[in-house]
Amino acid sequence: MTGLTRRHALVAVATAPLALRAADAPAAASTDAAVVSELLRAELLLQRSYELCAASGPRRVRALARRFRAHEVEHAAALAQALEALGGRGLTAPRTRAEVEAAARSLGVGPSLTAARSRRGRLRHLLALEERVLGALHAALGRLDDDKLLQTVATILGCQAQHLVVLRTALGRRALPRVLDAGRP
Amino acid sequence: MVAASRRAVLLGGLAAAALAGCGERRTPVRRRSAPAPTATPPAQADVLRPLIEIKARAVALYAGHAALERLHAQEEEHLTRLLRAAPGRPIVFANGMAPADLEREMLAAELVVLPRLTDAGLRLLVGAMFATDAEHLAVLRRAAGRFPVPRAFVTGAP
Repeated sequence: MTGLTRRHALVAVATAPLALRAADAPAAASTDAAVVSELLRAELLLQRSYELCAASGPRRVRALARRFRAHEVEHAAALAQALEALGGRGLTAPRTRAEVEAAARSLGVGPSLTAARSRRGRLRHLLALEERVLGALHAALGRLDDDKLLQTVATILGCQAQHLVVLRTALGRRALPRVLDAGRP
Repeated sequence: MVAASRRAVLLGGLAAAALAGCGERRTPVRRRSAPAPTATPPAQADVLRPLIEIKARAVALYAGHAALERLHAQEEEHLTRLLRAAPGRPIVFANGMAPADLEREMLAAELVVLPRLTDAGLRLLVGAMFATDAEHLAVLRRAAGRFPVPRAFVTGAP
């Protein structure tokens, strides 16, 4: 995980009340921890996928992946802090390419990154992953109990939605295909 | 807040301008005692962007006012020259408000409303609106020649 940046610190302040809330409402905190754990797993997968795309493959995808990976690192840090405040166990990102691909398959995202070597193939893969993560973040809004955590998740959701605009545009698709974007369930 | 029926003055269309390399085409200013650079300087187009937005607002505000005709013409000329250096024309309403500001205002309001909603269905509705409005902002940034996703957290802050 990266060092503490100013933004991480801000998010940490935003999620600080979680510890107190957790003591008051253990059941709600336990549900929130389960939801955050799920989201963190998805964000870590996205982070590793961008990392792999930044390391090799088409040049234009590499440049984009570098920028978006930085966002995912911040998202994962914020969620990890929230999870810790809720008493949840930390998670690690999938390490090997095989682990990344297995995790993507479990979300129904294919073809694998190895198979998707062309620029369009890579972009399609990342788009599908982002759609799934957006879907998970959106569903979480209906399940989370803590107010601050709800807002943190919404701010991450907004960023993923903006990633979608860039990926759709790069693929020559409509940037705004839905009146209400809830990603893919 | 801008009324939905308010006539908008659209300064240019949603023509997304490719900014890549724009700054690099300019001849760098030579300074005798310039300090050694410690970081990569921002592209000149990015440096000009805030000024372009203000000029675009001035042009929208001055338009149609007889007493401000000369000012309007001159500000429009300023804007034209700036856009040569940094293509990507911002869109501004007749009252000087930019659609991007309006979208940001909506995002900030949605973020405040979300935790106050106890109904899960309404939360999901506002959550999906938040995602879509974040997308709108990305499209508007792109149209103005900016990178569509400058931050990891979307809050509605400028």
